[in-house]
Amino acid sequence: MAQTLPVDEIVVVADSCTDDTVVVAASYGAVVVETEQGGKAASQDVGLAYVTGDMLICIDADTIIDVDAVEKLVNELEAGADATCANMLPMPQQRGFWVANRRFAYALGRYWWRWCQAEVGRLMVLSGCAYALRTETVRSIGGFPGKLITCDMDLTWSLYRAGYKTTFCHKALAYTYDPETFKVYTRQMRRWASGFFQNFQAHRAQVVKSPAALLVVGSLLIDLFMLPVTYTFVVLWALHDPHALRWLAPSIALHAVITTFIASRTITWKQAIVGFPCYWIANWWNKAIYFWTFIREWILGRHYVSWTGRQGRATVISPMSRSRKIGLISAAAAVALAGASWHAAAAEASLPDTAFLVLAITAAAAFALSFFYTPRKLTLLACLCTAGAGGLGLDRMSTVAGGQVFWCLAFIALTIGVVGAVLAYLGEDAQIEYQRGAAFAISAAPGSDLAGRPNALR
Amino acid sequence: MYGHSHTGIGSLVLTLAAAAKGGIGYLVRVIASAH
Repeated sequence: MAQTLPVDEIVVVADSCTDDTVVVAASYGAVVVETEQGGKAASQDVGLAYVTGDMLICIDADTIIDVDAVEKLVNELEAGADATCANMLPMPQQRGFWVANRRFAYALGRYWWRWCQAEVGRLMVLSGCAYALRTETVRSIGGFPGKLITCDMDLTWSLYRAGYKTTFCHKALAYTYDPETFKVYTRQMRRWASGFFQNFQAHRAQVVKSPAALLVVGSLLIDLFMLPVTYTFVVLWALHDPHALRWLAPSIALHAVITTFIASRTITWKQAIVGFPCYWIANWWNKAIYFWTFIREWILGRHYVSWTGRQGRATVISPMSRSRKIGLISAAAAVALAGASWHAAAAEASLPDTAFLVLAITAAAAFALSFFYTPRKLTLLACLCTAGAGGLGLDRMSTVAGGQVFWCLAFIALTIGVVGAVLAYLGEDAQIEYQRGAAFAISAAPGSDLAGRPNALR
Repeated sequence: MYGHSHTGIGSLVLTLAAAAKGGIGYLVRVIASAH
């Protein structure tokens, strides 16, 4: 409230609110709108109708901004930006491993990667907790986009699509409540990671068209995928020559010195020194979450559609489409065929052996790709175990004298297992329950009762 | 990328590109201000 540049009006959207927000906000003279949207973008759209000013500063309910943040954000807009955002930090009173990690990461991003993104003209995301834009700008793109699980990134890239320019107002600081426990942190990271991949599926044309966008998104993906490759190489190298590990400590030390120095420009040296190991360790978990999310969102086509986090709501993931399943089975079959061909050439196995091996490997590969989040896990598991045992039996029995009976049993087991697995795999998933931000759920389940509610997203 | 540290070859490339662009922008501003 006490800003160096006072605001003309305050609009508070109390969405699904159960505390005294409405009374407190009204006592300060704010325009209060009560909604039951159950989502941020939809609530912001309702609030947008009440805004009369030409510049809009959006602040989350769990965020506090510095006393000069409004002035700095407005200066940025007056200097020519169409939208800008503040740099965030965890609340000063927050403590703990996950908060120390986040504090370090935010401080590092302020003078490193977010600065770099803004410099090349494609800030990855206008931080949803505190950003500013012209009212006309957001109205011109039809309001706040709310179809993806992370609406702030969707907004940012919708602005790029409309030709607007964003900047990073690193001088403006905002303090927000960050997750303090592993459980909540992981939920938040799963949502953020899902939002990242959903966003670049939805806005892929923007990435392809713009060299700056390709640089920003491409560099992130390269870092994500290079991690397992790099560390596999390091481990293999270390197995071959353990002395090679002597390079690891200096490289981590160099990383620590550079990043701690950059972070210390924003937070205290003590916070930076304490934060680095937390950040370094948490980064492994972050990348693991991002890597698995990449597989789930882009390969399995199963999209995170529920809003979770501190609210503690259940995670909802859209079902895989039947065409995606058939595509995955085909891809798995192609891989298995190549593997079986190699097996046949190497072991001089007979054609039936090779064919059955193809079936077994196909089923195993399809199963491996779809095991997680599949409601019929046990059925699939049983079928695949049967198929695997059958395939293994065939591979062995065909070379054993007098093993025809076992060969027949193995053949039956394999057939039942593969057919059962395919039927279970292609079977209809249970219909998901609708929640906000479910654009992908609608596309994944045409003909369902979701399809008749396209505008309920906003 | 949200909450995900940007460390590796990709971040190095991005940093160099940003530094190059920032450096060129700085030179342009200096030259422009000289006139």
